[in-house]
Amino acid sequence: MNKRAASKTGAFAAIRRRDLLVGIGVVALLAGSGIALETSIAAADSGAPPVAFIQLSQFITGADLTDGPAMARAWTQLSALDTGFPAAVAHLHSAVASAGFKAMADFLASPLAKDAAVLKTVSAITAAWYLGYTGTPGSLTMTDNTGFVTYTGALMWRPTAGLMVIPTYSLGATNYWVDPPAGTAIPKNIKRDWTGSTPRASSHKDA
Amino acid sequence: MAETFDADVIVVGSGALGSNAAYELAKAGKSVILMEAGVRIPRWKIVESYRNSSRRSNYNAPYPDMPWAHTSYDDGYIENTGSFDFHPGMLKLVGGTTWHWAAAAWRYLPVDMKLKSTYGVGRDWPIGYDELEPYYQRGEEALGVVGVDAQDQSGQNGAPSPRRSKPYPLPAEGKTYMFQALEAGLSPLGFNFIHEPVARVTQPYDGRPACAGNNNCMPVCPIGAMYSGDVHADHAVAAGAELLTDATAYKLEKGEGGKIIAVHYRTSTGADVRLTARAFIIAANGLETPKLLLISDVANSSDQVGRNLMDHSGIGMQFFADEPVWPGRGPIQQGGIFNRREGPHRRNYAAIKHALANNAPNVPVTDRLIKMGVFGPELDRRILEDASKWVDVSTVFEMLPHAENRVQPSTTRKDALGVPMLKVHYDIDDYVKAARPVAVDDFHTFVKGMNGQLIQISEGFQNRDHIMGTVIMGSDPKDSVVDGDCRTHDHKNLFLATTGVIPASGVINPTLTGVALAIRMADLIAREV
Amino acid sequence: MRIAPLLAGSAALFGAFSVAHAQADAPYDPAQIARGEYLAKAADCAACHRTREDSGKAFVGGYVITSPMGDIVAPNITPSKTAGIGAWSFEDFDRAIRKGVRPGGAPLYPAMPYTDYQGVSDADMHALYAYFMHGVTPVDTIAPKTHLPFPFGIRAIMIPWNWVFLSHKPFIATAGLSPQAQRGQYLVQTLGHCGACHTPRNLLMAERPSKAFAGADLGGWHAPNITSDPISGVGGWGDAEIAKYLANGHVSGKGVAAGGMAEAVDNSLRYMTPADQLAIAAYLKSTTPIRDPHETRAAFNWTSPKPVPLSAYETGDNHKDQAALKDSSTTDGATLYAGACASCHGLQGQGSKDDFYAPLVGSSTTGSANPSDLVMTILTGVNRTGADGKSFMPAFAEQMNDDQVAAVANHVFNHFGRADTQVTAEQVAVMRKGGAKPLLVTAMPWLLGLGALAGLGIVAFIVLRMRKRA
Repeated sequence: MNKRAASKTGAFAAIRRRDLLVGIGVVALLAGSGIALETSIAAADSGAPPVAFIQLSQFITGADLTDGPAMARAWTQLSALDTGFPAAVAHLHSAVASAGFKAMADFLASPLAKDAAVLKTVSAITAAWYLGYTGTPGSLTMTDNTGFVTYTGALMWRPTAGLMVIPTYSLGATNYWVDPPAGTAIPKNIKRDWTGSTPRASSHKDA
Repeated sequence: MAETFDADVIVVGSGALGSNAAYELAKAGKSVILMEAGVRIPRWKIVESYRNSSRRSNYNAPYPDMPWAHTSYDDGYIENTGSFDFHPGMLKLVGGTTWHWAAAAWRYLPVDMKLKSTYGVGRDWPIGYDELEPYYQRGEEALGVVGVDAQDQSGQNGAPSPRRSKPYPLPAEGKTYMFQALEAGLSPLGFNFIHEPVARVTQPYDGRPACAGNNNCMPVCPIGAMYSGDVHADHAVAAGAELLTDATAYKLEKGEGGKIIAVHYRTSTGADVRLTARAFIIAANGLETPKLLLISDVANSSDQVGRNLMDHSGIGMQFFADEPVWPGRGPIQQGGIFNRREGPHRRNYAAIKHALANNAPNVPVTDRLIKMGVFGPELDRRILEDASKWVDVSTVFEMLPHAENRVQPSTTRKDALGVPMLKVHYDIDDYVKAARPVAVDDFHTFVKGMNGQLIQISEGFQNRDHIMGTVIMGSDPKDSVVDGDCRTHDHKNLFLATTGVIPASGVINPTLTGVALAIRMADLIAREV
Repeated sequence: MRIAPLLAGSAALFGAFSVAHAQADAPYDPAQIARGEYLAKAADCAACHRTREDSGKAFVGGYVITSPMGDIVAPNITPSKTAGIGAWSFEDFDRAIRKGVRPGGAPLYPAMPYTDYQGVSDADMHALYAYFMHGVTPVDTIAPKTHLPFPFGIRAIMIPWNWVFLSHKPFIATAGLSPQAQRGQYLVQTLGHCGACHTPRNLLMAERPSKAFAGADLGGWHAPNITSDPISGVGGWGDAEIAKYLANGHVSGKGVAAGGMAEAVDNSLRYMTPADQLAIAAYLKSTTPIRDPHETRAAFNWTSPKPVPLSAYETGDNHKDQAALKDSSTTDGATLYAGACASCHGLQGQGSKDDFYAPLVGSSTTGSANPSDLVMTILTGVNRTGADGKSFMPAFAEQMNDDQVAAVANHVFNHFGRADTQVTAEQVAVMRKGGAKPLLVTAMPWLLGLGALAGLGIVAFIVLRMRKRA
């Protein structure tokens, strides 16, 4: 992996100092889902995602993104959807590196973030990692231009982890859903039971 | 001379309806062949396919679309000639399309079955609620339906209805907080919140675990708490039925005295087989069943086969509540607002059902925010806030039967087995169009009642995959295809187990009704063969 | 659950019913009937003497016990005079349970654990009799008779067996144990008949006293070592944990009851008083420790999971290849695990936070040196009601072939349990059929053949001798 491409200080330094190969990954951020880290990213051959894309993805999403195959998929698919994408990535990467932004919030406050072309690149990368797919899903059809990046590792689950389900996984026992997450403002006239219920509420606790 | 048959009964189609019929007949000691165009796929495989798909809101995507067993989103499969893009999400595999449904298991109201007599529109059923009631109960026990016994499912806040001879087999699941919050906000305005009876068990039942709210009923329940037709395909086989997969029926052969004597099927490996039976049940969904009849020139003296196509076409709305309501916890659907399920308005415009969708909204929430140019830590903050307040209302309308809304075999496209594919002509009628503004008005009331902010109301109408009317039930052979027992008027030993028999759509999901009719016809056939 | 007051009330009702049907012997006493009901739960009579259907009436029999010798049908033990034991005297009842002999003299098969019940006290026997005569509703359904294949069908073969293995000694608690542990010993050794599953058997299928509770194979499952050994047994469990396991059928970080133990919890152990559950725990912790030299740490203590990278589970888009969507032949353990198991048990085997779904890390099943219980759980699932509710896992036997079951089990051992434990597809195939048959059964055709040859040899010898004389 070509570490010489990035400077020793500046925007991506923090990311370089963390060992890219053994990061905290999405694990810490998806509390409780315990998704493990990928311990190696695919060896550098042609077609492997360039460091610029990896670092830019990490910068834009604030995540360690240690799933190497997912990174490769995102790169290949985004490049296929837009032939200008590789150049746009290289350009944005060097712009961010030379501006020395410490974090995404700084970048978004800067004039660079007003540039439509830059925003297009940011949007494509954000969507790929947050939604977990590239392209636009078609409705009622078997064919579209979408490509898979990740599912359980999609960053859109990060903010609601432990509060909402990642579909197909469970948060717990039958009827965990009757109570809202702690701290919710509950209306006074809330009714927890069905009117006209059978006497026993359904529960896995029925012995 | 004693005739030999390959089976007492052949059932074409191993979905929920066909498999329940096959099971009842096998239990009654009849020899049964259950024929399925698709193959058998274990649940874990479908879950894996779903998680690895790039298009998770496409419910057909985890299921194989084969050139000889198309799923309905294949672009070549349905050709639409009408103004509406009729495209229900139908599957072909052992267990059928109930692999992806929301398990809504409603009974019709007695008045639903007397639409014409009561409101002067559409058609009446030739049988009444009382005749179907015991079979609704058996269907609920077969599917493992949970419900609230003493509620007025007509949505009028009256006495419990429809009448039940026995309680629901299982108690209802707990009410999601989202449902509670919307009920707290909107029932003071007079909206009646009704629990939807569902085939999603709340305690271990028939080899299935209790639902633990994995929030993925569509496209596949990862644990099998939600009913899918393969449960009864397996029961049928355990009771002695023979299951044939990769077997697409393409012709019904007529014999003497108006009887059907054989079904012909093809396989993907080139076999062409003829099987005989004393009686036949076609359970190939509301599109494929009439297609098979039309190709075979069978059961159509009325010229109604394929006509009167109805779906519960719908619209949808999303809005933000002002306080978190927390969707994405629990099953994806458990009821809604039912005031307009019934009422004198049905004389003039369609019944309306507002359902609350409980899917985890991260995809639409995030997609919207990205399109709005929200990135970085602000995106995360907004995802949490927006998702917690996201309300998704999915609304459907009752539809009337019209002869011009029809499905026919395609004259231009054939599948890999040489069997014609489908051509549909469907226009939404004025009965539905007149109801749309009423529903939209409700939408605005909901938003206001929750101090909310409207996000969007869908344009036009949407498919809801409830295929009805295409082999319509009636007492007069001149204007109907099957009688009240689902026996075709033209052929005494040919029965149709499909929601396509339903002559008056009502506004509720028709699957349980289809299962009840399938069990009822199995009882009848068991007495006759 | 407080059984006694509840039963005292219902026993009074039964008592009223029984006035008109008083037995010639034994005047009844509602408290004694209630005590008998509790003892019947402790002895778990219902686990075998039940109907085939789940919802049948109590003690009507008909249930088939699949023994390695063949199917044994449990009889009706309701007080029905025509179909059950209603005509039995106390002596008949006692002889059957403590000596294994029916009225009329025919021996019972030791599927009925009379070798363990032989130690039940006289007072408890009277209470049980009172319960079965006056506390159970008579049902006149006759259970089918048991017919085992030759030679096991000849009940008389039990006579020499009993002569060797039945001690006819009353229960004597071990001196030096606390009263609590002695109570536990009584429960474990007699009514609870725990050794019937947990003690290995000799060639003639009798429990081996020198290996008490060291673990045994049973119909594909392995009832584990429950001696006090801290590595191979339950020595590393706290008494309260053992008691909780008996009541609920699961303890997070220790283990989960499935198969026959799930039935024991469901039908019997969850009804016992906390004091009795703790007494059992105290006794088990005092048993002679028996160590398996292959084991280096307790089965629940394999708690350093090897995390599975997401890329092992998410291999990418397949919607462009429709044929791949219908191909369910993979034997990749990670893929199978993700699709079949992770929805409940989590991608990293962590279970659910509220323990509704058991964690696979820190579980005595995945940390066992013996793969049987994990494989059998995958094949047959779990369906268990404990004191704290129902627990259910679907059976995967129909969804996976032997190679797949082995692959997913090995994935679990490798990542969440004891990596040295592995299973092959061949072993899975044997377990699917109900486990390896004991030598006595597999060797029986040879033994019969040898016996026939020996018999012929003797006849030939006699004939030759007679010829010589002639």
